[in-house]
Parts: sequence; structure tokens; C-alpha cells
Amino acid sequence: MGREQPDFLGPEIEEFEQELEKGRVHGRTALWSDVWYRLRHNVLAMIGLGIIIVLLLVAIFAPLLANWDPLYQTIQDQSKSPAEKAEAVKQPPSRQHWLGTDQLGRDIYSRLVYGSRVSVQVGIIAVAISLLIGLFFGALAGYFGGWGDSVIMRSADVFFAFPTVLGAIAIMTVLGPGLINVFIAIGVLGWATIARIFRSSILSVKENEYTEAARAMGAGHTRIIRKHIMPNGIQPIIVYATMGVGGAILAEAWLAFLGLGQQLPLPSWGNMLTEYLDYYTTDPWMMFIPGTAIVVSVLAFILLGDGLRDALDPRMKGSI
Amino acid sequence: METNGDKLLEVKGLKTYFHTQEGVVKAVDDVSFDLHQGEALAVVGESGCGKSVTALSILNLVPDPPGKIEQGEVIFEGRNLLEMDNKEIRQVRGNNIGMIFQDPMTSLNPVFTIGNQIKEPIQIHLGLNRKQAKQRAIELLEMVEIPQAEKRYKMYPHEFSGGMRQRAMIAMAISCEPKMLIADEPSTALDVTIQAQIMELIGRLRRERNLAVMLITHDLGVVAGVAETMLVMYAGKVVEYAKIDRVYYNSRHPYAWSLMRSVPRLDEKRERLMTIGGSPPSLINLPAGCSFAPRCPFAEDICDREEPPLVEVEPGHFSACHFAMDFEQHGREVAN
Repeated sequence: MGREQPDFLGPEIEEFEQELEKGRVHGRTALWSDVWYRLRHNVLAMIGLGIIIVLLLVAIFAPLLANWDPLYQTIQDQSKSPAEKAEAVKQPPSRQHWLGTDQLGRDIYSRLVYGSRVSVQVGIIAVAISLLIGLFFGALAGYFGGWGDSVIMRSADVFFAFPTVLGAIAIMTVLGPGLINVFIAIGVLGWATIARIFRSSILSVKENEYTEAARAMGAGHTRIIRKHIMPNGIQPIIVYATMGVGGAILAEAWLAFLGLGQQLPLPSWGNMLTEYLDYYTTDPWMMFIPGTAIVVSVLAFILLGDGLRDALDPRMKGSI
Repeated sequence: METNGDKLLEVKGLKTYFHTQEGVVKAVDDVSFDLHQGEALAVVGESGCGKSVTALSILNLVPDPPGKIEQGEVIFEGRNLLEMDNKEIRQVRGNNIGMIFQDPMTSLNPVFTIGNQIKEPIQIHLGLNRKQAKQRAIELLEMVEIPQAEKRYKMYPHEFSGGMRQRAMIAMAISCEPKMLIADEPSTALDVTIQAQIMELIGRLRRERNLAVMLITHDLGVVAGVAETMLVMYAGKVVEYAKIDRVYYNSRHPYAWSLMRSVPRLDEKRERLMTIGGSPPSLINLPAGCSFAPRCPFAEDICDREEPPLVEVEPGHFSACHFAMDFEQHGREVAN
């Protein structure tokens, strides 16, 4: 075998150079900047991300965006005449009330804007609670195995055996209704799925030869978990958690439907939907407003989650 | 044995067993050998004969459970690796002993760039800063003859061909200037021309750095050009251990002898290659006596009864056969 230039250069380096010229390849050193690079080229994911950013901004700047007090009821305003009160309820959208008014003469747009705060909080806090518990126990079970694994996974099974609705009702009954308890109920019930996904993904990553190779290089548990297990094992979790935010928003809606979530008169999309459902025969447009908000937000998280799944896998690069 | 240095590694009476539900698998059963500075040792045998487990045992990487190193010593530079605690052995892994794995397709982490992964052992052991580590990684890529190293540094494993991935693995293994390299079937997953390139690369690095190499393979063709000593394993035991030309030309064990005759050679005209009938025994229920006896063309009654000891038939040449001393004569008798 001669020392001449090996001929296994393959087409990939040419391809790489072409991409380099087109400016499509950047400093490809860090995992996350590459993920962002791939995500940016996924139109649907970008739409999802855009909606999510708008949602977050709306929640943060709700007092600036709402042009009415969300709690202001025209029918209880002493300064209004009975005729004015009758006129003020269930108005269709107008210049004054952008999305109309509800059965108590409240501004629906303002209630929607304030209600987004509940959805965003539930989404983020509940999923954060699930992640905290789920990742910890999932990692413990998956990486170290043994009897701890059995105990953790059997407890997760108990959570799986419980219908989620029933579980949430049970927890809410004990803790009482209220927003904070919604976070806890949804968060606690979500840990088992995350633990199970993370455990199985760790199990498969752990057996990979690159983990063994890393051990042979002298890497310790911490480094192996951080560099080899986490980045390869966390991907399904990132996807699941993103979609889980949407799921939590939905869960808030049905807890509100059961009267267990955000308590009236404070608005949340869930209790708005429940309230307006009563008028679906006479004024169906009312319930479509919070309904659409819920659908669009949940969809946004699903689109982003889907895009993340593709972006996190370097092998998918060519197909985007 | 010809050496150009001190004794670097000494494996004494190594026993690694796997405790499974079916019983105890004696994957490595009383294996001993030495490795000197700059020496290349080939460990040869069929699949499942304990070659890889021997290698893993040296670095104490045997998965536990079910595996357990029951007995033995692995003395590396005067220290027993098997008695080290986790922290100490991690200093040895990658730093003093590098290891290359069989399948370059799965031995690299798919989510990090090649450069990032080559930097890993450098950062663990050498304590270089980011820029120095990068510089060093690019040098290493050049050292293992990867063209356009600077560009390749930023590419992902899936953008590399099999041969190049193995080169990257080698770069990782030698990144901390180890004294010893364990190569576990480094060329098995590659096609023949790439195999030759990889073996040549390992040979060159060894000469340049006076590396001790433990080359695990089942490909006798690969062994001849690279190694000086050869350890033939069968069913977890050492059956022959000698300088490589002694095994090739004066084998004293029927298993090694048959292996040599089952490989086609360019420099000899041979009508028919030899085959070894049967298959290796289950390591759980080893037959009493010599474990090769059921497949041995020269077996006698004693082979089924007594396990042959490893004896020195000539200086530096060990064989575990009852007829090792008068191997040829016994062979002729059987043939007649």
C-alpha cells in the first residue's frame, strides 16, 4: 500500500465545500447551534415558533395589550341604564370591543389576552415539574439499573394505571381548586411518561459502543452522562416536553371545564370556553374564540416539537 | 522473546467469568502473557474465545454484572490495574492505554463533530485549553492521514466513510500519547483495501512512537505483517503463545497448526485448504480434559481425560497440548 493520497475522499467533501461556498455551513462545532441551523430551515417549525413567541409576548404584556378591564361587567355598572346593559351583552366584534362582549358584557378580547397568562404558566410550570421529577428518576433508573430501576418503574406503572382525568380530579380534590394546584396536578401526573421515555432512551444509548469507547478513554460517570447519554438520550424528551406544553394547555382547559382550574371571574381560556359553551345554540361564535386560541397554541407546540425532532438528528440533515 | 524495551504489561492468571442464568461462562480462564514496550502482540482465535473480554479485563471495563474478574493480576508499569479504584483506572484509560473498537460505525457519538470527540480525551487527560486542544486534534487527524484535517474536524461521523471513522478512532486512541494500544478487531468491519491501510497506519504509528500494541483479530492474514508475538486462544484459554514465525512454521498445538493451514497463501502452492470440523464448545459446560479434543485430528485417550498444562516447548514458546514436545512425530504416527 503506497503512501499516495488515499482515494476514499468520497463525494461528501465536495458536497461540504459546495455548501461552504453557499454559506450554508457555519462554524459547525457546537451541537446546539447546528440544531438551530437545521430548525431554521423548517418552515412549519418556524411558524410554530412564531406563534409561541407571540403567545409569550401576549402573556407578558397583557396589561398593555388589553384595552378593557377583563373583569369589568357592563351589566353590573350602576352608571348604565337597563337598556344600555341589555345592549352591551353578547355584542359582535366592533371597533370598541375587538372580539365582542360576552353574556355579562365583558370584553372578550381583553379576557383572552389575560387568559393567555394562565395557559402559558400552566404549560411551562406543569411541564417543568414533570421534567424535574421524570428526568431525575428516569436517569437513575436507566443509567444505574438494579433494584432502584424496578422500584421507580413500578411506581411509574401505578401512575400509568390511573386514568389521568381521575388522577387530576383526585389531586385537585385533596388540594382544592386553584391555579397553583393545577400546576401540581398536571405536573405530577406527567412525570411517569417522561421517566419512562428517558429511561428507555438511556438504556439504548448506554449500550452504544461510543459510550464504551468513552469509558475506555477514561471518561467518568458525570462526563458520560453529560456528553454521551444526555445529548443522545434527551432528544425524545425535548420533543415530548415541547408537545407536552401543548398538552398541559389542553389539560388546563378540561380541568376548567370541570370547574377545577382558574376560578371565575379571573379569565382562563379553559373557563372562558366552559362559560361560552352554554350559549353555543344562540351565539356559537363566542366559544370559538377561546377554542381557536387553544387549538392554535397547542398546534404551535406540536409543530415546533416535530421540527425539533428532525433538527436534533444530524442524520436527517439532508431531508429538510 | 525479542524485545526492545522493558516489560510494560504483565497479565497473570486472569480469569473473567460471566454469571448468567444458564450458568457460569468462563470467558477468560487463566490467561497469562507479557507485553513489552514497542512490542506487537496478536491475540488470535475464533469468535467467542475470550479475546475481547481479555482486552476489556485489562482496562477493567467488563460489564459488571454479569461479568466479573474472578482472579488474576494485570500489572501495568508495576501497578495492578485490577486493584485500582475508579478514579485511578480512569487516569490509565485513554491516557496510558488507548483502545480502538471493532465497529467504527457505532464507536463515535453521532451528535458531536469528529473534532469535538477527538478533543475529549485530550481535555480529560492533558488539561489543554480549548484552542490548544483543537490544534492538537487537527494535528492528530493529519497524523492518521485524514486529508483536509481542518475541514474534517468540523464534520460529523455520518459524513465520514468507515475507513476514515476508524482513522478518527485511532486518532482519539493515540491522542494522549499512550504507551500501549489495544486494537479490538480494528479492521474487521472494513473492506480489504481499507483494512490494509488501517493496519499499515497502526504499524507506522507503532514504529514512530514505540507503542506496544495488542492486536485482537481472527484474521491471520492481518497478523503476519504487523505482530511479533502471537497468542492463540481457544475456549477462554491460551493454547499457544510464541513468536509469530514460530507459530507459523513450528506450531506445537493442533488448533494453531490447523488454523495456519486453513489460510490461503500466495507463496505456497496448496491444493486444498484445511478445515477444522465442528464448532467451539459452549463455555458453560466445557468438556473435561482438553477443550479442543473433540475437534482435534490427533486426539488420544488422554486428551479426553486430562487438561493439558501450558508448557514451554522451546525458549519463549508455550503450548497447551499433551503432545507439544513431540508434536510432529505424534502427527506422523496418527497420519500413518
